Amino acid sequence: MKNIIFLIFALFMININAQNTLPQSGDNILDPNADKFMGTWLWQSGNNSLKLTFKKENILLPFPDNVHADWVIGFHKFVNNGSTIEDSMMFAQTNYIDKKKHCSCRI
Amino acid sequence: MIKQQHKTPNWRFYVAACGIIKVFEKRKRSSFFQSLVFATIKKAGMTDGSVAQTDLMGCTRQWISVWLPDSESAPDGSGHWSSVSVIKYKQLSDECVGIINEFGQCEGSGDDGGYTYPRLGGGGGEGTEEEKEDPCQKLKKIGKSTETKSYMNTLKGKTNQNKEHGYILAEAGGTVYEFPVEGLPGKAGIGFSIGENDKIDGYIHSHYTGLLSIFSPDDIFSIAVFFKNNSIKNLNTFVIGVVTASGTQYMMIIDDPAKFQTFADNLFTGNTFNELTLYNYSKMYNDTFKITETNSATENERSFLHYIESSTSGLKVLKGSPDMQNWQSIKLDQNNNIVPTNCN
Repeated sequence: MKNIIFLIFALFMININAQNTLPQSGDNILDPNADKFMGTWLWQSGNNSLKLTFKKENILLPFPDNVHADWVIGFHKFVNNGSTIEDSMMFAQTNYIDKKKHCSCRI
Repeated sequence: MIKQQHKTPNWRFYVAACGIIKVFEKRKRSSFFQSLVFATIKKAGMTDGSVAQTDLMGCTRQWISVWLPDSESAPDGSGHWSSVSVIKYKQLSDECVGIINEFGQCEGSGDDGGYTYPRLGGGGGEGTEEEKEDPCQKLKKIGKSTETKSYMNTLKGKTNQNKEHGYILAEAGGTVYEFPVEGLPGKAGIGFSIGENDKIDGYIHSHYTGLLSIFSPDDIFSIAVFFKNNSIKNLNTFVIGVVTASGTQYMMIIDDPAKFQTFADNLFTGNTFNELTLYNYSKMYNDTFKITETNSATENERSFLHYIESSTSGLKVLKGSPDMQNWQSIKLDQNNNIVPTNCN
């Protein structure tokens, strides 16, 4: 009987949680899991390399109204056979709001 | 997911999205699709001998709004706005004394004076309520046509396959014709092209097992592509539909064209997608609104409604019964409960 009550209570809590997942005004959606990816990462093999820089910013989302969230932005430099193919590292000191040609990266 | 985006000097650019792949071409196309489906549709434009399009020519969509008094005997009394959309293909430079912007609109020609009319959709003003057609009415001509319901049912039978199927819809003479398209096995998305001057009435497709129980962000973006490419024949009847392996079936209509234009414009820089905005909107769909393949259909439905309502997309979602016969307009109330309204 106790188990049944617990099960009903657990299902009720799951239902409550399902109802409350929508972002609302004033929310700040934090993403601590992203922290372990922050910083500069370099892969190198001979004359080939790929450098990635990630940083986390807390930004105001375009919608819904007044909702902030942690956002990871990134910059990269790709070198193939000693030639730079792509490089956005010159923007690594800019912020999300500057909207330089960096990526909003999914981690 | 956006796979590739580039623009080449000959004005051909390629946008690949989960829902849609479109090819825009500057040159005139004489496709099978055009001749099959659009043969009876009269198009405004240059003759075939005038293929070259100069910078001074352009196709523009204009919204013309007229303030109609409720009573003709009291022209200064209460009233309402009535709006229609007009697509023009014209010599822009001849008519513009200012600067023609990227949307083909003439700017900087100064104030033309005249009566100060109540603001469109301003809210709060007496009698300034914008007249909007019932979403169910917008579904009637194309979305709820006998043919479209049949096509949706056909798609439903294909959701157990490992690729997406779809139909481009084009109405002529009261009949909705379908042009079948399909994606690649194991790949979400369908690729097809539409001629620059072709107009369509809708697009419906399937999501197979493992895909979302509702429209993907790229399905939303695809409407923006159709809109920006002037591929939509009638904004008031255009539909995009999806049937899914989760047993759901939805359609979307453009409920508020002015809001949708703002929403669509925000996704583009000139004629190409703004990659950053697009990616952010997709990321918010997944990470902020948490619309995922593993959620229940009800969870996704609620979150999706929140997504399109809070983004002021101007779109409206309608939900169908399993046999496609009955449709409901759905929205969220203040407590985030889904409120259905039956379409008669």
